[in-house]
Amino acid sequence: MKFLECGLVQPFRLVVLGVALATAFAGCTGGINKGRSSDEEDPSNDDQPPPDDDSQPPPFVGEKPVECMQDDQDVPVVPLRRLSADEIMRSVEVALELDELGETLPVGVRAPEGFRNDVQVLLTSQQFVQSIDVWAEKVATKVRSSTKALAGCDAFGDPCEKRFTQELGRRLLRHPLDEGQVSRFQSLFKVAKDQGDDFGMGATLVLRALIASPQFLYRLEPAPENGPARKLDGYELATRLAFLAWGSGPDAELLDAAQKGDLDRAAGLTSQFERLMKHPRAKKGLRTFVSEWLGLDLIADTTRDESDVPLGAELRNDMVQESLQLFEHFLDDRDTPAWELATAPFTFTSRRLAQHSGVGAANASDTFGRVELPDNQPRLGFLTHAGFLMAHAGADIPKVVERGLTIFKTILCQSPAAPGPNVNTALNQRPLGPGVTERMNADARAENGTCRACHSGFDPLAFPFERFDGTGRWVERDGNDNVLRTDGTMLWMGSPDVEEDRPYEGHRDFLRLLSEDVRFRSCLSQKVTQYAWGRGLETQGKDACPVYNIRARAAKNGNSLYALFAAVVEDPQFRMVRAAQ
Amino acid sequence: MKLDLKYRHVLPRRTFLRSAAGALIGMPMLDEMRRNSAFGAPEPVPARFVTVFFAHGVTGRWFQTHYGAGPRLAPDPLLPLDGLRSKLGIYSGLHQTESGTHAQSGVQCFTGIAGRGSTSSIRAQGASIDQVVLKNGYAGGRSPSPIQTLAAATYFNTRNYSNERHTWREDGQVAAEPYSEVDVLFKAVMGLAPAPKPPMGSAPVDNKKQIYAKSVLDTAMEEYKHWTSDAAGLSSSSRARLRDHLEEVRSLELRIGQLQADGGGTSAACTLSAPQVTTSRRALEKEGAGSNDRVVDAVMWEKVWQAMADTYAMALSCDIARFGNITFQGAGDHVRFKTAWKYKDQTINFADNGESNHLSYYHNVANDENSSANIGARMHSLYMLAQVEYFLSRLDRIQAENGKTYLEANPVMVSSELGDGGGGHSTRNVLHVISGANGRFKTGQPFMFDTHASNFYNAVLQGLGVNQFMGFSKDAAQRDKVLGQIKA
Repeated sequence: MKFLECGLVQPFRLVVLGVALATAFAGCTGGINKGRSSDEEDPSNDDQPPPDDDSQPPPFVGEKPVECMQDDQDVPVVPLRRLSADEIMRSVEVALELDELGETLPVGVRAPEGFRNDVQVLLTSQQFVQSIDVWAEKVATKVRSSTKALAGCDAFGDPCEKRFTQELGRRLLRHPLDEGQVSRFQSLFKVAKDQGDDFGMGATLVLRALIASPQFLYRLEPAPENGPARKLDGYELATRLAFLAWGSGPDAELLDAAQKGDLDRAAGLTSQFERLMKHPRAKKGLRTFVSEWLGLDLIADTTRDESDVPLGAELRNDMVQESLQLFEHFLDDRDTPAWELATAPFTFTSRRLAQHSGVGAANASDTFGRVELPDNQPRLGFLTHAGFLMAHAGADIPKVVERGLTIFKTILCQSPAAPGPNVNTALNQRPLGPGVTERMNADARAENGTCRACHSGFDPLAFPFERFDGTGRWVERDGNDNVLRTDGTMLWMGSPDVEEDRPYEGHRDFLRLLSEDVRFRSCLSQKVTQYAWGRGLETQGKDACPVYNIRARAAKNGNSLYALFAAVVEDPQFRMVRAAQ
Repeated sequence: MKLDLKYRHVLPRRTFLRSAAGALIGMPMLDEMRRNSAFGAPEPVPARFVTVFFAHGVTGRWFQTHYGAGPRLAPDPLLPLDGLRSKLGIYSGLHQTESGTHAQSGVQCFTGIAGRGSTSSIRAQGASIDQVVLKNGYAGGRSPSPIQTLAAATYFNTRNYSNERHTWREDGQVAAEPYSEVDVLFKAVMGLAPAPKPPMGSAPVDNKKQIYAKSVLDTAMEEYKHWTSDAAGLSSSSRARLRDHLEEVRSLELRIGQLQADGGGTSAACTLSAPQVTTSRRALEKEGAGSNDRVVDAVMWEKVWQAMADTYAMALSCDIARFGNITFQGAGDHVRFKTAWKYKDQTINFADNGESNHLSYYHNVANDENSSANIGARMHSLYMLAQVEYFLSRLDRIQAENGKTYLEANPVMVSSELGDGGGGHSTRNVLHVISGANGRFKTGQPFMFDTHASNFYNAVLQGLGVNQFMGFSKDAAQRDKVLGQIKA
């Protein structure tokens, strides 16, 4: 089989571990909560989900369930996570109840095929510590005049200082401060007073110290080493909920819910998650997720020959907005499966972008708005958005390998294995020119057995997009006047056990096939899970069971974009923590 | 684009040097030399270790022809190392044969073992040699400089995460993300430099600001102390991570305290004016921007590199960093040069056949030294090593108190991801260069081995007093055999 020749990841074949279906499946999906004495002893679990989990169907028809350990080993290990720059800024915004701070931190790098909140790229360094220190001072200076409003008073002395420290501390550290902590942070008021400054200065020092605290900068979830998994407390759950939904720490209402024990009950947890996802901050969180997943941040810096097609900052920004707004629409639409993002017959565009995209500028307004996409124009779904196509084209005449690998890795969650030693990966491409297109070079690779082993997995995924040029415009010919084509054959997985070559006439056909491909459907859920856990997934290894369970839950709830996020929360293991070995 | 990297207002502690831009650079005392001054004492593990990476390597045959086995080739890629030859040991015949791609062998360079994972997310299987020395050179694996590991790199290919990352921790994680913009590197470096002492009679520094900053950090440190204790209930790996953070907070707090005690400055001040140069890829790419066949202005890129190298050298000379890596072009990077470029009295006219150096030249190197591919690859390698030479020469201008330069007194290693190259990514005969490391290693002569590169790394470690194996090979006999030949 082609995939295995190249060592490619085959999630469905390899994940399925061959188990006795009924019993193992039941154990898999309900395993972690069942039989846990802590649950039995805890009266607050009265309205935990009933054992209907056991009847949960598999994510895809015919998919065999993953064998689960039915014990703590299925609780995913989430390593100690430092907040990303985005999460730091948003958390302070939420704590101070501000829409924008007006002071920014340097944005870190994205993990390969991942996100900026990935533990792999969140390194600690002297530069980071100093940049936080400098940034916190700037933020504190900005909000100094408004600290009275937060405290409700502005007089030195225990009641006012304590109230301020307790409340701001609770919001930023996402947990009530103990007496020792209150005393420690509160002592900064005295430092300000001794220097002849006012209450506001003392308050800014407390704010700066809280931002520098490990309880703010890291998501601390103590768990015994090599010990059993434990249930998270309400505040820890609030933290997980808020970072997933908003990309920030919890607001006061969520912390209040944690304090009252609401989050210890499944209904309370779901209700709060629902509230968070309806809040405008959820759109901010979603934008981070989408932007980092699809590499939309590349659009601003992608360099292209602009002599014929000027790509101003406004057009580039419109390109980003188009994708973000489509995903926002899908987050609100809970009746439509997320995979229809790939075949959405409408988009959100400005007149400027509509002209570039060729979707009928006459129908677009000056401001951003929804535009229907009839069959007589080239766009359909997010993969045909001009910005995405431009960001991953690789050149003015788009590179087949670049686009193909992007679809393969980012959209289908597949991993090409690295070629072994002494494999000739010089592709022997003929220089592009009249009579030589990227597609022709790719066809030549397909004739070579060594090349074909890997390239057949991803090259064909770029073929349907050949008529979208390096700026994402629809063109009939490339820069060398070669006629371009969009037909081809796709290696299609309509179900976990069905793998077949499917011809398509054009990119619209291809996108319909893609939206039915289980790799794509599964990848949507995997990306949300990866974002939620802040690390790459080992879908063939230790993460096989929880990832399967989350997919199954999302399927049960219709696979809408909302359902993909909710499935992470509804999985019993969301409420558990296990220490890294 | 204006290039004007100037250094100003420098208060040297002991000695001075004249920088490339003509101003003075302060040089802190190198404790490496101080420690070695004791008669009869065992040599301590070096206090510093820096690696230099350049892309695409140098074919083994060119090493042989340059150092005597045959007529000199034109262009001759190893020419730039001749000026510093008396201070370097230059090695070939070192193989890192497990790697199949630029990304894998780029990680293998300095770690001695192929990277693992998919092409886009390859990670190390062990620490790079600079990190091994750091760990063994200081209690707790932390040096006293504010930046534990400094990484800087100028490159174009951003597809593969590991291609421009060449300093790795033992757990396979990058030790430091590389700075790719000169101005950002400058800000990071100089933001951590001690402030200059204010001139006599000038307004006093804002001592209140220092008091507040210190109080804030003191409070945060108490929190870290709790969370790094057993009582916190975190796993040992989590506590280790927080301890790293605590050390960084402590270091920052100490510097603020020092600033306060000194009245706003120290005598070891190092001050630079900001470089007026950008490494923006968009600014350097002239045609085919963003593609694998991008055209890059070779002259302008060189100037960008020189500004980066100057800033990095300044960080070393001011003791802001002691360990790390600087990289000129990521492993497997693709560029095309159209412009003529001058190296000393030679004018190199890069032939442009519409494809990148990567595909046109390195992957087509064959036996015919007069083929266009071989000539083109040598041109590009000459360009690469000229950039390496620039950085090494900067280090050779930093004077230490015993008359040695930074380059002479400290281990500095140079290497690449490819050896013989060609279509099969041959990683045989990967060029390695190491400085004398304060008289530990032979210099002034080339060496030809036929062994795994990790045996060389292990020999270097042993020669530096680090009794530890790293990389693919754990063969003590091979290590000792190499050591016997390179040890001074």
